[in-house]
Amino acid sequence: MKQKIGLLLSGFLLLAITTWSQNQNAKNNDSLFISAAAQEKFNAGVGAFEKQDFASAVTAFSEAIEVSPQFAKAYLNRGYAYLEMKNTASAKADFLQTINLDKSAHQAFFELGIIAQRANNNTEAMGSYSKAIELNATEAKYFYQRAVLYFGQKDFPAAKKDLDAAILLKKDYAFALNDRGSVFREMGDLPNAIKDYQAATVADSKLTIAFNNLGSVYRKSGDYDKAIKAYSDAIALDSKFYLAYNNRGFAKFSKGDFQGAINDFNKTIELKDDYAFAYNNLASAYIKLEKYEEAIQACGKAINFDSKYGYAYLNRGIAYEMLRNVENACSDWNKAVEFGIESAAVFLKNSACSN
Amino acid sequence: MKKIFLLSIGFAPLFLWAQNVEFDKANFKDKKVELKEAIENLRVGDYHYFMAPFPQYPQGIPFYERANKFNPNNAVLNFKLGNSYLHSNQKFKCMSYFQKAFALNPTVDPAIHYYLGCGAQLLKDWDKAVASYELYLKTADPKKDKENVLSATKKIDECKTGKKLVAAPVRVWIDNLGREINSDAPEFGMIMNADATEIYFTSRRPTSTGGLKDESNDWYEDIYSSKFENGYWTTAENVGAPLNTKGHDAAVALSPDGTKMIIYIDDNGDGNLYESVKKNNVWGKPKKMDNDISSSYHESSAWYSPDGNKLYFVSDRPLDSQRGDAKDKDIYVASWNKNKSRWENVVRLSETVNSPYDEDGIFLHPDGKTMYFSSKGHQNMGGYDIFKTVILADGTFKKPVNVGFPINTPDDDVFFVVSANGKNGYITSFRQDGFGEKDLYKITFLGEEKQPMLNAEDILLASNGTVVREKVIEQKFEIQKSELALLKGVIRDAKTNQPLEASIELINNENNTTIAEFNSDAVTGNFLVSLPAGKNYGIAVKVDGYLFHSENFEIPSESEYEEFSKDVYMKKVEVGEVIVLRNIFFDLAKFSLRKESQNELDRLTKLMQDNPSLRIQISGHTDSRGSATLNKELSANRAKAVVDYLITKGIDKKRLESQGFGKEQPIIADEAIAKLKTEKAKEEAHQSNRRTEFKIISK
Repeated sequence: MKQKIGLLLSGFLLLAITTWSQNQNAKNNDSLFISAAAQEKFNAGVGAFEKQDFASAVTAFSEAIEVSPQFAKAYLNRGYAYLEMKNTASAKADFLQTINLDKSAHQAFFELGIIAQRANNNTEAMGSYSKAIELNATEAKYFYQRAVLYFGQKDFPAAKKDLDAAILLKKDYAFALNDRGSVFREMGDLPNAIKDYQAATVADSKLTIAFNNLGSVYRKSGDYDKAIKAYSDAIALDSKFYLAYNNRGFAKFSKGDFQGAINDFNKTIELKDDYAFAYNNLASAYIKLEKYEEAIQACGKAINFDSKYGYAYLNRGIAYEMLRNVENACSDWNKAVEFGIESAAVFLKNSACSN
Repeated sequence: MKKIFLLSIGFAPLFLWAQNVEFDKANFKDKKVELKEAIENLRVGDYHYFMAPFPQYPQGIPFYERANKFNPNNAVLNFKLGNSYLHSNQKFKCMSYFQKAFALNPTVDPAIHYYLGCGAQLLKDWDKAVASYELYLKTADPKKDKENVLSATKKIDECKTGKKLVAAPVRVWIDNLGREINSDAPEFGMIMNADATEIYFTSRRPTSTGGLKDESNDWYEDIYSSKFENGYWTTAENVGAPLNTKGHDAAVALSPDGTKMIIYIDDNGDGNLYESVKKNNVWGKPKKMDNDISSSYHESSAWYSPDGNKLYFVSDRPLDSQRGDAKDKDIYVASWNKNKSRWENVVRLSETVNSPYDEDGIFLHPDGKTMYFSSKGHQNMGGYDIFKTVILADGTFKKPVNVGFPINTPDDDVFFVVSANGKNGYITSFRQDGFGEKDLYKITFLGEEKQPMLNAEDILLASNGTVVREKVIEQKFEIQKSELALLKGVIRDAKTNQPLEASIELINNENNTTIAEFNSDAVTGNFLVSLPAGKNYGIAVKVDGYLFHSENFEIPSESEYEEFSKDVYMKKVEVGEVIVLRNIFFDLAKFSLRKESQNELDRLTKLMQDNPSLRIQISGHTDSRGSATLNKELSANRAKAVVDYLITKGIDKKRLESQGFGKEQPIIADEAIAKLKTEKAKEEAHQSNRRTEFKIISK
């Protein structure tokens, strides 16, 4: 999934640089200060960039800068090219120089925000995005990226406000619609979350995560049939999307289709055999089918992958209790309490453990 | 039409084409000797079956079975066998005989559909049972068959209740108490003390005192006991005389501290309740209870309130003997008159508890407010079912609730007791996995179903691909609470360690009233006090020739079950002895005595009056928190307040000294408090240090 997002961001840059190049040809505002030779090198750089020959683009932009050291947009474009070449340090230096030369270069602020965010320097990223928005409040993506930061900080009202702005600027902004759905979800507003996730899937019918998220909100709303349908749509788009299988299993479990849930959890494990959650969920379904030995085995595997997995201890304790192995049940619930599962403390009280 | 119905409700298709065969020479030409023997068996069986006024159905079964083995296709015999089993302890066996009787002759008995309904109900085949009862009601004469018509109508309701209860069983484990307790003979009516360490039950074993059998050819009932030691029940033993006699002796109730027992004795058909008191660890001869309890009617079950001030019992006395009201067993309550040393003020419990049908088998939980009883009425699934009710603060009762399947069955379910912590119950049951006849079973309450917890993850933000774990909302649970504490221990001489028989007074500190008085056992020194939640208890232990000892327990409402073990060491009236006055209370940072201190102060006054040469020092102590100067001043003022009280009661001030020690003499040092693990334990330690004491200066 991260790979996909990388590609999306590259597409962002290509689009940005192409647009900018067109603007250059149309207005060429810098021509008053920039020599024709520098502009020629610059245009060659844009051509190379469009052909995704980033090394040649860097060379061309560098030559333009050499000719005209005040050529801010050449720095900006070289920064983009460096980013494509994964040379973040050089890219950052070029964006900073862009701003140095042109205080209104909102694109440079935005890119600095991206670089800072990737480096987990969210404070710096927040400052850069805010500056970009201050300079140009018509770019939906600026609002979007700042919203992502707010979301990470769990400042959901602020995130929503930025996403509202992004969507207002770009009505079919699928990412923003999906993310605003997530904001609503985190705020407990499931009906609006459903609306936004649905809109995201309409805006981008291949946005797998939006289908999955839609499924999860339906599941949380208790509408298991619609949840299963949405997860199935996500799986149809990406047959290796293990999260959707796990989540569909959860929905089937909630609906009472324990065997169907087991099938999905097993498929999840087939796709990701170290996924502790799937083993724990599998155990839960086995418990419902009164297959306690199988449940104990599945929980054991979950615990093998995550020795501090409280819920797996909790569930294994249930299975042990049903097999009347009170000693092991109590031991597991004590472990679950140790790992922060409050229910386990109640289980200890409501069982033979406290006799 | 009848055949169509038979098929539709699915009764005995295997028997459909069998033909009725009479016990007739013509049918057994080659088996004359065997026929003669079978007819003789029939005759003996009939003798028991038609015994008036009380048929001996179980006794006839072996004879009928032998006759039936010879000729299994006689409709009337199959019907009689079915009816005999229906009135035995193996009721569930009746159905196959009724089915066969019906298949051999659909008119074998005018009430055959009623009996088929009974059989189906016992097998929890609710729909078939209802269909049979309804068919019976269509054909029965409401005047002539009044009793069965009423019964069938009630049983239809029972089946509807049963269907619901079985569909939503309560989560329990039911385990046979094992060979140490149960035998091939019937065991029933288990009773226990509050901490479930000692049980008594009734059994009909060949070891019955006197070695006699009753008219049913069963051994006479005797009382047996067992103790729970090191995690196991000891082998049950016959408790012997004087509890067991040559006649029937059945254990009915045990006081929470295990020192009083109520016994049922069948006094020539007039069942009565007797009481035995354990003294010096030996049971005394049972004495018939007052006439208000053991009346000329039949009393069969009883239970003490935890404070010993009330006795709940079952009697079939008519509501108004002048009017000659119909007799059904109801629950009554009597109050203990301490001054007259007798039970009086017998009151029939309200109709919330007493249904128009029989009630029996009472058990009052040591929390003093949860009552279990058996009833043939209320929302019942057949026979007696066990119900739970709660005595509310105003003395009224909550609507009884069926304790559910599988504790209750379509058969009789009586004798149900629950441990003080509420985690276990004990029942008498006839089950196929038993050791023989009725056995005693332990019920482990599992509470609400424990739901497994699942985990899910999503990618919430489209741009960063981070997998986010979904928040899990954990299951809400009603915590099983038993609003009760048990205090138990041994009372000993502080110097010799010898167990002492002491009087234990339980006081409600809120209104300074004595709730109950108990005695520790003279031989063992053991005592056990049940402390229902919602009160601040003062406990005063007194032994002649010793200084009194006091304890204080605050048991808040809604608190969980707790057991306190406290051995009390009694000190003789000797110079230098120090006693902590646990039930003297002051307001926070003040030195005016609170009214809850009254009882303790009066005990101290009496001690001074009983020992006129005694000189004592009253000392006040605080915990280590706060200013040393203020603490010392406060403690001095508090000690003086006690002295002043004693002076107002006529104690010569020359016999009294007072001193405030502030935080100088803690019982638990700060270093030890710091090592305590919980804040609650730390606060309790500080509370121990805040105290008023007296010390004997001279005597």
